[in-house]
Amino acid sequence: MTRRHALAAIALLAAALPAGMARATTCPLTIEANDLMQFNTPRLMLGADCSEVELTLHHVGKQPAAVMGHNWVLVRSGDVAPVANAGLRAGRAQNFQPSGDARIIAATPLVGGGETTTVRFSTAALKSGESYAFFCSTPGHSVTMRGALAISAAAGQLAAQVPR
Amino acid sequence: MATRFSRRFFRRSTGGLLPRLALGLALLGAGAPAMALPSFATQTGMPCDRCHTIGFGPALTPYGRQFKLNGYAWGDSPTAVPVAVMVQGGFTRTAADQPEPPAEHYSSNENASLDQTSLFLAGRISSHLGAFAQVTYSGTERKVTWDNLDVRYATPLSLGNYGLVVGVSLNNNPTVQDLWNSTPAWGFPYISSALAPGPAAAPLITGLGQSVLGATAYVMVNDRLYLEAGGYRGLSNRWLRNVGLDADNNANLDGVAPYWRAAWQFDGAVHHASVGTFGLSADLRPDPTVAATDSYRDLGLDATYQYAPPGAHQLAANVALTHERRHLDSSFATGASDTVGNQLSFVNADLTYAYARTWSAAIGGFDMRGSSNGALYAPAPLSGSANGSPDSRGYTLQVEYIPFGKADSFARPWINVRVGLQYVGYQKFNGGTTNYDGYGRNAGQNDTLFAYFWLIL
Repeated sequence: MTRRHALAAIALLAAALPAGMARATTCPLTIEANDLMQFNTPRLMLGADCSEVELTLHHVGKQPAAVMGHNWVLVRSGDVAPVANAGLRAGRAQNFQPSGDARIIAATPLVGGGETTTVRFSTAALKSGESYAFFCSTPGHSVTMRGALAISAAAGQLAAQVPR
Repeated sequence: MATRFSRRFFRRSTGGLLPRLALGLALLGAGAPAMALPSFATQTGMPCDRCHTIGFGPALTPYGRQFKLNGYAWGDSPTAVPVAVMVQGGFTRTAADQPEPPAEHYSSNENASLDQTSLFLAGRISSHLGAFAQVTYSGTERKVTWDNLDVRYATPLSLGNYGLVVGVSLNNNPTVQDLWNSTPAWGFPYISSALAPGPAAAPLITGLGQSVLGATAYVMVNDRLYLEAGGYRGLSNRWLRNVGLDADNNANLDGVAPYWRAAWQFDGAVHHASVGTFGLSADLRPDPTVAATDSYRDLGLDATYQYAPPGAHQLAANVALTHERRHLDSSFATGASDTVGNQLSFVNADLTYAYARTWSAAIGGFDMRGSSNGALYAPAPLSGSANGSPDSRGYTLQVEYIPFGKADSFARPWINVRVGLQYVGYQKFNGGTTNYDGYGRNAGQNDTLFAYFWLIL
């Protein structure tokens, strides 16, 4: 097979793949939380070509999880308050997340100061035109530790955090 | 415990029935609100500045409001000690000597005083029940009385797309259960001298603390809309004696006084704001031999703003307008009031800048205006009014240093200190600028410099 024939075969194979597979991309996102009950960004942005997200939460504070534990919970924007309240009832043993709650799209466990955790989730559940919010479900934290997850209409920008 | 303005505006009034009631109520609280309690800090494991701006209360952060909203019950540290002690005092100097010493054992000016020593029982009782209870020794009045009480039960609920926190509060001071620092019980500047002169008038809602007992029910919807309603009843003289008070402190409430509160709050990452309304409707029977009552309808509008970015700079602002309509049928019948219909409006606003939650500078203003009433506000040295007007206007300047209360503070959380210098200036006092009392005293002669300390253990 000549080089030209090989390139043609690859092009045909790529064209035959489903469109979603052709765009399969894991987008890394990183967010920081601190001892002052703050995330370092109020907005996370996903590129349109992200099929999967790998979210890393880094607690840059010093206090332990029992005192200042943080997590990262992704829901539809309208679900923040009810899910946060359900998390209160769930308690620390469940990372302040209601078990099996379908409203939770993705969530990390609680981490304390200096610790890092990662969650990987598919973007298939995210619909364009819907607004999504992330928050920390530790009691009382969601009033200040919340932000928006937006999906960019343009491909190319895989993922980013937007400064304050 | 009354707060600064209730103490200031109720203190040492002598003319008319309302000021006499005010005087009695004012004696309930010669000190300052309770704040940044180590008992709460040990319970949650957090430093004071997580719940309080500048690392010392009573001004609450958004998290502090949530902690209170949820019944003082968060945190389950096995080492929590639900007891705390507060000591507050200072040095008071007025621009001119007062005609008489402001209290026994003191001079007519330049007094050092230990204003208040309080013992608190404050903390979680169960997973949804908590208490904040205060007993105070007044160094100026030299007696022990009960002080603020707020026992509350709260629980979170989820109803469809609504996240609710519902609760009830049993308390003895209208607005002591409130979450914001624009309402009377926890309003700026949080501390004032117990030995300084204060204007004669104030809305009733600011001065009922410790002389009533009430219950309110509340709900917070989606961390945005807060609604509360309830009522207060007066206490018998026997009850008051049992808590260290006496008949002079009796508010003589007739029946239940309804109380309401509504607020809309916004909490962003660094910006926090609220607007709201509050009110109380009370009937008083100051003279049991008179069938008629005095009715008071207090309606308040308030707003708050906090700016708390990750850096060292913080801002906080509060404003409140309280309008009171009075129908003093009883007082008019006994000659204690010139007219039946009266009104009073009180505006209070403040702005505080804080650096590193350690240094703060604040400015506040207040303006009291109301109907003239020669019987209600009669001439009297220092505390009276020559023209029967309750109008008073002035400002407060304050600088403070709060060395502790942070995560890395010495002996956290067992000690917290606040020291400050406060200047209160009067542009108008009890209706006048010069010779306002009919005895030759000018408003500016009541300007007060107060150097204070505030210790929490």
